[in-house]
Amino acid sequence: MQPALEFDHVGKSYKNFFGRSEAVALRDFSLQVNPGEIFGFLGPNGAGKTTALHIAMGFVRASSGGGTILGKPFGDAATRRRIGFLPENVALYNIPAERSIRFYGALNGVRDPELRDRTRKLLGEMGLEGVRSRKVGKFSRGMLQRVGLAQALVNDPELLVLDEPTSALDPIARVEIRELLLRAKAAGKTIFLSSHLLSEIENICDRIAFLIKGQIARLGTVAELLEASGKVEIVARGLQSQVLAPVRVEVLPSSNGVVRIRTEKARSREMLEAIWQQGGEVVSMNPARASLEEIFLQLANASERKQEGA
Amino acid sequence: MRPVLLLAWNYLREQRVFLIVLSVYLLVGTGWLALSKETPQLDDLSFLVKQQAEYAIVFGLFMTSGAIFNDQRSRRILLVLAKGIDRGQYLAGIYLGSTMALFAYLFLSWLASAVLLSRVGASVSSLAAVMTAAGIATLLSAAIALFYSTMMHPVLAVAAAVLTMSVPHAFAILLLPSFEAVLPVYAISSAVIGWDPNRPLALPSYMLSIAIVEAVVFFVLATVTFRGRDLALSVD
Repeated sequence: MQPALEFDHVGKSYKNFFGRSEAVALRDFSLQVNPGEIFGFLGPNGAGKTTALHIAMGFVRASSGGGTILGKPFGDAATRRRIGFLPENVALYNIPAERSIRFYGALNGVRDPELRDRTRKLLGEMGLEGVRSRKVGKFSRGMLQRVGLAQALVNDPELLVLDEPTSALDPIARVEIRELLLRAKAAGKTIFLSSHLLSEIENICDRIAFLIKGQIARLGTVAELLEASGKVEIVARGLQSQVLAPVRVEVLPSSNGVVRIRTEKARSREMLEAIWQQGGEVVSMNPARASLEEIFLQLANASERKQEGA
Repeated sequence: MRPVLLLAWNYLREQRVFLIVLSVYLLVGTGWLALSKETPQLDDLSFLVKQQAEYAIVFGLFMTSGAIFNDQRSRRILLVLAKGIDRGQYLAGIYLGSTMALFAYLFLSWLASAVLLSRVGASVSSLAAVMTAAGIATLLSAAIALFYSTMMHPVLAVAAAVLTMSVPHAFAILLLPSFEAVLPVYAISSAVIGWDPNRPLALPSYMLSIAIVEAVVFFVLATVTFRGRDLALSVD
């Protein structure tokens, strides 16, 4: 099956006026996004996420390597008609919201009556009906982001490339956008989503890639990444957490007289016996699920340590 | 073609304050001169016509040189170029929009000048030729500025465009007069400045043909250059 988006050993370095390399944004970056999936793209600031998105959209050219978007090389103008793009900072011409969405739809070749119907539907879905005639220059950041999302969807795209789509939205609007993205996925669309909101990524993405210093540091399904810690989490009651102090384990915050212990899978038997010996009762034992935040911090810190070591 | 028209119209809308100010200036100036009790002198009116024509050439340089820069600085260019349009279409939209604005200005200038020249009984037969020549020189100067603006800051693009247009003129003075025909903005401009309302415009028509062809060449060069350039936006 042809990937919806494919980066093939892409490298990108920014050069100064004299042609010297100033910053390396991507190094030998390869990634495939499958049709119909929601793919989460994570990484700290400066990791190269936006550069990767801009290369895919044809705004900047790769220094090495290449790739395809909906089966065509990056930068193909005709292919962009089948893509919806939302940049991190939405910047629009100062015209009324409805005209703005129509303008971008028309640039993508959508015509009336289809354009009119889709614009009205999106204005409703984004909660912009009441401000359709207001110029976007007077909009808050959250409202601009809604218009930005509407213009990304107005051409009914096969692939959505979204850079921080909910960063300026309130929690209610975030839930609405999340549902909208899940509906888009159910309709067979592919979504490539860059975000710092880890809970959002965890909730809706099928696969996730962590980008650190221009390279993929980790890639997998949400379940794979969260369960790949090689640890187990034991919940026990009837014992004080201090009695576990001599045993090298991680005691997690808990309440109601319950103790949550995280330890290596290989040491689980030893732990269970220790709990029983102390008169405790084991409530449950499951593979430990690291949060995305933990993985994110772990990868970012490892990268920093590596840099300091070098 | 539709995206180009949409972008051109959008560009015109963005420049509306500038256009309104120019139109009001022309309207007020013409009205004042037309309604004043004293009949204006032909020399004064002739100077006014030439001034409008020369202004158009200068406006052409400044309008096109800043368009890409403004869209990049505001980041509005991202959503435009994320659509199914080629970068050449984007440039064509800017170029067409600025041309429409400047031609509208020249048309208004022609109307105002015709009213005033008629009032003093002067011939208006060569007025259209003056405005057409100015319009063609505007096309070329705008195309040169657009070409440089694909790779430079607007101020540098204007400077580079002026320098580029000056070189053949300098060669014409120092080496061979026929160099005037290469990038003939100065030649057209000089002919407009030397225009006498009672005589036809002293400008060979091949100069205008050369200017049109060169405008097309510079537009193509601008497109090729812009297609190969990264959009200079800061990354996260």
